[in-house]
Amino acid sequence: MTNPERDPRLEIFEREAMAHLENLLRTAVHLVGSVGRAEDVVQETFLRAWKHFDSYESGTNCRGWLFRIMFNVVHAERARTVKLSEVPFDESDLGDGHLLGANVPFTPRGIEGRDILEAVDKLTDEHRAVLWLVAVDGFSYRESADILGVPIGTVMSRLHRARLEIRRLLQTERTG
Amino acid sequence: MNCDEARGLIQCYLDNELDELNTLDLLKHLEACARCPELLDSLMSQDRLLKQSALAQEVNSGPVRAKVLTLLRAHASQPSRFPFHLTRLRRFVAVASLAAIGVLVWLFGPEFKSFHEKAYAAIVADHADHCSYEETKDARSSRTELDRLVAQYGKLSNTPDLTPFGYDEPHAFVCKIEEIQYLHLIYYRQKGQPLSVFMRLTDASSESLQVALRRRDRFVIASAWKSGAELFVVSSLADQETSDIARAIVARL
Ligand SMILES: [Zn+2]
Ligand SMILES: [Zn+2]
Repeated sequence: MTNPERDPRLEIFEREAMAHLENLLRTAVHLVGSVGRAEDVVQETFLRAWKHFDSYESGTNCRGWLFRIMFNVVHAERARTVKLSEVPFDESDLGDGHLLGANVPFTPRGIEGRDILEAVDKLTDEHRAVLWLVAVDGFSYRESADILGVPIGTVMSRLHRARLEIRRLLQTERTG
Repeated sequence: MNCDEARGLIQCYLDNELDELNTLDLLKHLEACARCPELLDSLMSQDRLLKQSALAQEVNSGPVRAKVLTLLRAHASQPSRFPFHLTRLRRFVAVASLAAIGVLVWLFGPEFKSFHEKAYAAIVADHADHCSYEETKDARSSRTELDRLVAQYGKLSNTPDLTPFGYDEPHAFVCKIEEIQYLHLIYYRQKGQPLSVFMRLTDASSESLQVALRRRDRFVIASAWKSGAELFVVSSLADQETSDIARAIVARL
């Protein structure tokens, strides 16, 4: 039996795919709203990625590929959550994951940095996803459209609305 | 260029998505305009603040990384229990063992059941492969192309319409599953998982108007044979809805 630590496919996977794990986790926290759920999403994403690793071409856009898988995991999870939400909500289901705005360690960048992240978390799921992909993760419109499975025009209009909404929220924060 | 036009381009400029010609025009406008530069500045600093704050946020990826690696190594060390994708080698092994089972079926009729179990497993695996993310870029989806394919693979006069069940127009692949070619239609809908319809022509004379249901992993498979065509519907829906969809398609075979 071969030493599993030396599986060459796994080595490539670790080098090319696992390198993006922290990036995915950071984004996932803001997509699903809790660290615990984000960890589940990222874990599932990498298991699926490994399962489909044969279809990934080494050296191509691995990060984009992983993000696309992650958004599908999140969509699937949301579809499940929608069904579950008909069942009376049990606070203990949250496990040790904490809701954003409560215990997530915030940046030392002071009040402004915290305000903008809070504003982002107030956006709709769709607006937040696009803004995060383009402005934080640095994906192009085309890549974001592929990741989200929407037309490029949708990416642009959601992005526009998301940025204006952030501006509005920050202004209200300052004046109110 | 007037201010409205400039404002329409500012976002693309900010995101590095503006072509050279428009960039030059926009920069010319920004130099001359009293109001537009302020909008660009405010959007730029907003984006910069967002990115810096996001990256400054601490993320502890250690635990999930360790967990993923443990799971992957465990799978890698146990190829026989690896529940995932069939690699090329594993496809070969699967096909070879299928051939072996074929001989067994021929020798020992009762083994027939396990032959089918294999085929169902392969169909479910193909469904998961093609549908777990929207890998439909190289799929065929023009109406005439679809109608031609369903005629060829299922003797249908037109593509099954699942809009009454909330699904959009399908995308089509031709998939080789255990060395047999199927037309694989993938239907998406707004909420929930995609649904697959597999079909092919067979020379089997047996007709099963009954829709048979079985579960595999988290999927339901409805199968039917009619008029020399074989049909499988794979979904994540309830048994009843899956069988209703299969019935609706079979009714038109
Ligand atoms: Zn102007
Ligand atoms: Zn397929």
